[in-house]
Amino acid sequence: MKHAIKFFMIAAVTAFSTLSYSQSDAIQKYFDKYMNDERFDMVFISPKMFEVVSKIELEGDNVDPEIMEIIKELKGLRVLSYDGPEAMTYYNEAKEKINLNEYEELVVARDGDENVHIRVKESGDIVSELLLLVGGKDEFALLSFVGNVDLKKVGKLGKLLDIEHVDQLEKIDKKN
Amino acid sequence: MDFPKSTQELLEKYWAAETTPEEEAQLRAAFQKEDKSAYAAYFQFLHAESAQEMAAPVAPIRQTRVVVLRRAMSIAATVLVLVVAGFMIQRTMMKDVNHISADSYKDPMEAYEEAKQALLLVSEKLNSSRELAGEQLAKTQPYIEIIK
Repeated sequence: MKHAIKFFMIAAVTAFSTLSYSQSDAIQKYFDKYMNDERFDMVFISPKMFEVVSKIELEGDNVDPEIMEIIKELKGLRVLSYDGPEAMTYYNEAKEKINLNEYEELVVARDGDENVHIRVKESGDIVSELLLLVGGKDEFALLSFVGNVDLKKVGKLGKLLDIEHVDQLEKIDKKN
Repeated sequence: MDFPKSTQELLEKYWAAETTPEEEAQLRAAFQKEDKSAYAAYFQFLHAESAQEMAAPVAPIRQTRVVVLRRAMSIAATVLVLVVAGFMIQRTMMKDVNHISADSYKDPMEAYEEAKQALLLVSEKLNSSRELAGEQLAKTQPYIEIIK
């Protein structure tokens, strides 16, 4: 009887761990589905590549210290994007296929015809995964950052974006 | 052969396999006396055998061996289950690692640029949703004032 209980406990633990693993990788399955579809753009940056990137020397204008500070804590990036008339179909499909309940809701917004979901997975006080799902009339994007994602620092990058826009505008003005 | 009535009844029960251990002991005791009958020889033989079994502890050793063997088998089965489960999980994980290990960029600067664009996109969406929330809040402010 004891042996039977032991056996069932081991079987239950094995089944549970397999189930957890398969659930956590629902995003990968979604990426896999469209991996060979040329209408989609796909990006994968591995933990190893992030390690190499974090060693880039902060010299010149090519590397932003604010960005580098965030990148040093990241372990992976996956991006799947599509521009076309079926964008909303893929957005709805992603919402259905990926178990969003595993993530904590951070932002749900609708701006015009564009829907934005930002969800996070937390381990204690650390955001271990950030998921961005964008679905509009002609644009679909699914993005997942894995690692230690500092939301405050990511939020502050908006200023950097504004500066870059200003720089680009200045360059255009100079050309004209 | 003539036996006392009680012994005769016990014998009938014995051959019908309905006797209790106590009744069988009674039968063996009954035939311990001087008796040349076949019944006596039979029950005396049984008595001698049971005495021998008591003297020589063969059965406990056999039982211990069986218990040890069962434990070894259960440990082997547990190890086998763990090995198979571990192998299956590792196989699944290796399949995924191989699958996604192909980096989109070989050049770290290109990877940096892509990560930067992705971070800026997230930042933009975070900030625009914050602004949107602010606008919505501003729109509802007059109604809040009325309610106050």
